[in-house]
Amino acid sequence: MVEKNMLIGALVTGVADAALEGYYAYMDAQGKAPSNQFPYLIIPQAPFIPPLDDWIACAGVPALLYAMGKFMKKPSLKSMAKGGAIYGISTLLGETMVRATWQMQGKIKPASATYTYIAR
Amino acid sequence: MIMDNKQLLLGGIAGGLIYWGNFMAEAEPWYPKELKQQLEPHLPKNGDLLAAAAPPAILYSLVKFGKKQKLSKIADGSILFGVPTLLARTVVQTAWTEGKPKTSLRFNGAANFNGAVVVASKYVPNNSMPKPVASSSLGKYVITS
Repeated sequence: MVEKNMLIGALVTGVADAALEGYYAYMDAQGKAPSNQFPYLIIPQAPFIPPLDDWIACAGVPALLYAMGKFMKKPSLKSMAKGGAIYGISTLLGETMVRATWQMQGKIKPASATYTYIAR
Repeated sequence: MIMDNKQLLLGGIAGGLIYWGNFMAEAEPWYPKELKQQLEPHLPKNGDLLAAAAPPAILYSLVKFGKKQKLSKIADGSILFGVPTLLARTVVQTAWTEGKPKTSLRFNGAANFNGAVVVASKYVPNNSMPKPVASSSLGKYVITS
């Protein structure tokens, strides 16, 4: 069965991702989508790269857990970081795949790139 | 230990590719419409639920019943992707559903309503719902004023 600390780490990363995506979805539903505002930023020349909010949740949170584990000398936090990294790497890889396909199909164009919400 | 980590990562990436592959397939014309539907407006689409939950379920079944012990770490990896993804997508869908403005239904042209307004108690996001028609009676409900 999955190691408890790894699952906790993956869930913490998932909660951070859900909070950022959920806020965007809520505001978008109300017609006030925070596109191109921090942290919903993309590189206009390379819209296939996931936006900043995904990097914060999927890479930032596991990195933070790992740093805390290293400085506090707690192996449990390092294990949590590993679980978060597995969720984060898989999510970032999948999103990049979707965005690259969309860019190839012409659904998102580099010149007019805005934040594209793909969680729905 | 390093081999374990590689297998965990492999399981997570395999789960992720299946989930996001399903996401991309949704735009295709051959995608089954049952998978585009939702059991409840706050839940993700059936296809998303299936794509996130199926890989760990299948891999754990193979480990338990097929005695494929080599797959146990890959199954663990797929659960590390599947469970947080289900949680995150449910939160996002709930936020989207709750964020949508609530609609009110007005029964136009019903003479016996005397201007009474019926407000939908729950927002129904599905546009395919039949529109309310003016009825000549109110059934069990009686308006006194």
